[in-house]
Amino acid sequence: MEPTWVRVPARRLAWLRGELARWQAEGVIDATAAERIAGRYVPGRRLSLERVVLLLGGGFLGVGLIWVVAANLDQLSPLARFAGITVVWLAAAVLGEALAGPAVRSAARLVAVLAAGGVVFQAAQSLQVPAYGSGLLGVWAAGALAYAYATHAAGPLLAALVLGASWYGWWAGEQTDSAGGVAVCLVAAGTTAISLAVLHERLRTRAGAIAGPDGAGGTQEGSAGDGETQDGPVRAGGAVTGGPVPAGIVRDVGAPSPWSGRFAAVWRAAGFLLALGGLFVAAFPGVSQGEMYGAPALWAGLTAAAVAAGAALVLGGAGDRREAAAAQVFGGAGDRREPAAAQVLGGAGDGREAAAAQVLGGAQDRREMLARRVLGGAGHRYEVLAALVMVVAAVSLVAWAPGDAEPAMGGFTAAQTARAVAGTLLYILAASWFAVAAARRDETHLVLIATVALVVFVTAQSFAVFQPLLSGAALFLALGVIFIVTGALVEYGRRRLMEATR
Amino acid sequence: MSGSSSRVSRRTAIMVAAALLLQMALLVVVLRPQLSARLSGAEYRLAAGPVDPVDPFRGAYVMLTYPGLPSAEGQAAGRVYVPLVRDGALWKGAGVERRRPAAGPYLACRTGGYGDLRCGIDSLFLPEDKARRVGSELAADRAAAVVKIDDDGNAALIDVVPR
Repeated sequence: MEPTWVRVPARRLAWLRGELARWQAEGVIDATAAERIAGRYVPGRRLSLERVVLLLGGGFLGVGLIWVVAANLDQLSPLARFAGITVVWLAAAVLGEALAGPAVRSAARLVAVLAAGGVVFQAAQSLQVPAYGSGLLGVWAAGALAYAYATHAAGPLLAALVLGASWYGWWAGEQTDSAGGVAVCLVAAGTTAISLAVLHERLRTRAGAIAGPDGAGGTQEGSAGDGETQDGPVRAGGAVTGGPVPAGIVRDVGAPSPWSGRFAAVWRAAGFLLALGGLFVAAFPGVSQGEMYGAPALWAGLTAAAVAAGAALVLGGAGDRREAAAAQVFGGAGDRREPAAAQVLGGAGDGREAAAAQVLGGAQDRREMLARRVLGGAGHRYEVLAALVMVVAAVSLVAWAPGDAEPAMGGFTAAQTARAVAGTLLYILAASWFAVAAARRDETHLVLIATVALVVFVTAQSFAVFQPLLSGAALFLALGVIFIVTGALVEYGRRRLMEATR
Repeated sequence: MSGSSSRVSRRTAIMVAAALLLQMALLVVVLRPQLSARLSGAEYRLAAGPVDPVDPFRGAYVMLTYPGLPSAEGQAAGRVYVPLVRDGALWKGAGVERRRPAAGPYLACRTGGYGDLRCGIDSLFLPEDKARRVGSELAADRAAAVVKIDDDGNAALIDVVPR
């Protein structure tokens, strides 16, 4: 296996080099092993300047292509326009795989995804197909999703999920004809996305868990600075042992998918946003279910959520049992087996590197890491179950429609107030849960999404609830106090959460 | 590059090609009604008028209304059918039915439950100079839409011509 390089932030690389020097001084590893370990990592930012420029260029080019279609250029016949945009699409797809630089590849893939939309809408325009239906957007989203999995690239997946969420929201709106119906559909879509994130993670960790608590034996993604690698020190440990792994140890385990970690992060972020978006709508006073139960879009969404959640719970449980078995082998065997295991895992040549990986955290740390993994498995189940509870809560909330949609002049009735309070509590609980779940994974951007969602919700709800009750200066004073208190509490909570999980 | 790398890249190439083909296949599926009407449908002329002559955001794009087609007032949301009968040189609708008529010609449409009727022949994309001419003919009530309709009632708008 050829050595691979992983881009890591400069601070993390400095930490690793410091640790390597310490292990070398303590005699844990020799200079050769330290050099080989350090040589596997290169400093770099996940989003470098050239990458930003290339992605912006790709984005402008893609949007321009769609604009060309929308402008309905009369100098070219519809067939010529369709042929032209198709050539651009196919060329971008070919360049997305053929080009050498990861940033240029990403830009070409972005153009390919956007040009695919141009192909869809140009075909529709050439056939005089009305653009008021959601079907065309659905085709674009499905194609982008297939392309993302074919290329193993997170960028197209992100685009596919944005398109897919827009399509599903539109489709649900067409069919349910009620804000409550759309809200439930969005929460169901969020549950599906969260369950798929868990499934992707199980796919990734199954092999890593069996091969060793530190992920030893797992293949490392991102050759020569892939630029999309998001791995932290734990997965970096997987790169340490590059030697052959005995078949007896990894038997019955499929190869870990190098892209599944990145894909899980994208699916989870989409799940958070969809679920919070749905609950946001459902929590508003006056939002009701309407005729949503006659809409196939709702049943399709609920079925997808149930199937994905069931799969995540079943496969997640199986993964947890395998991790427990791995714990028996790698954790329960005791420290005396560590040197031997390190030799076996690493092979003759890489034995010292394997030892370094084992010693990385020390025996105690290793057990803690294992415990966190097992607890993390349970966390997976709770994550899926919590999403299912949110679906039930959203269904219940939109079914509860006390009185008129608009509050009376004197303010809310008691039932309307109770409904508004229940919706608010539900949203706050959901956002807090998402923040905690993200913090447990040390995924700061998801914590940020959850906290921003909380602030936006409080802002909107404050206007919705207080505007009918207060007016003029009193309204602004009340809202000012609420925002300051909310901001302070959210900031305090976020800091404590991140500190607690470090 | 090693043999393993070339294998991976070949597999990736096949996967990407499959994804692109899938997108084209889905496109054909979603456009099937209009493709079917264009390929196998017979030609009919319906009286047409403008709704929104030129969309400022989409260039020469005309939304049409059909004075000869009935309203779907009173019909629940879903699929409906409009049998066509001859009216001089043109054709017009003879009511809205929930069941597919035994014989054609008829239009297979959808309604949102508000009296609207969507038969897939509402939008016309045109070059700008032609759009101006068509717009003035539509506004003067002198235009007819040429549509192709297949045996299943799928319709495709082909052109707008003077009556």
